[in-house]
Amino acid sequence: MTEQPDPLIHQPIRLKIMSALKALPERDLLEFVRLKTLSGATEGNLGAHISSLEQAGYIEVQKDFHHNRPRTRAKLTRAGRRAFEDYVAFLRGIIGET
Amino acid sequence: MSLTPAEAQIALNDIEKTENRTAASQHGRTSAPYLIMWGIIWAIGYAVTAAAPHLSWMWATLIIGGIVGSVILSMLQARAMERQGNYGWRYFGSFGALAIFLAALMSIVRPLDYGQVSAIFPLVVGIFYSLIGIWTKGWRMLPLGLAIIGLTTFGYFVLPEQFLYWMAAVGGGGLILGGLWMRTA
Repeated sequence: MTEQPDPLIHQPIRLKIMSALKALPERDLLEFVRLKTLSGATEGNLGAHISSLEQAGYIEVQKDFHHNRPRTRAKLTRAGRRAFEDYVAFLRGIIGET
Repeated sequence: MSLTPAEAQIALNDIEKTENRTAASQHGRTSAPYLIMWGIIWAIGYAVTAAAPHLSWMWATLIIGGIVGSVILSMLQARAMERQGNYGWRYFGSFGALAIFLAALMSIVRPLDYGQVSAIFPLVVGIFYSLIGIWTKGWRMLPLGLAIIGLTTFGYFVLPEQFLYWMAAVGGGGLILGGLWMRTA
């Protein structure tokens, strides 16, 4: 278990982004629009947080066209999944759960 | 950076809330097209059976069409999500198990009239949806399943003469509205 919370995940919006992506089956992607609703972030804010997580290698962003409309989707990487699990274990350690 | 147990608990609650919301939303959007398609099948089947009982054989065609449609939908959804696995067999398996169960139930219970046969199918579908709602965090399926059970029972006892029309409007229409509701999840 880590001794400090991962500063990249330990931020309310990024925590919600990671939690939402973690709830999906491993290979599934979540659309930017739905991620915005689920995280409660504004569009610009969400973009900035997604970039931070992508640069850290925690999420992978895919851009394509769907029904002639641009679509941005994201999914957790293996490293992101592991980092999130470590973060949850850290929190559980603090409240005395193992 | 240090966290108090209270702050850690708040973060854990936030995680759980977001995970549940995501799972419910995902489930709702996945199930919506199936509900709409089966709603249309129910509405046509019951309306045709009520208006022209000699055409009740049409149910077999509608059900086979629904099963094929469900498999196609699952394949389209798998492709859209870029999943590697093929989930079509789950639908074949689910409908197969349901068909075997209903055949066994019919042979044991031996319903006396067409109204009873017509009521048993939606009751089984209702409990099926309720259980999906309870076990998959797709909570909207629970009230939908209970509504199907409640409305079927109401129609069977209170409106026996109009039962098939009732099932066409309320059963079929209810599933279609349920599907549209799921799309907003």
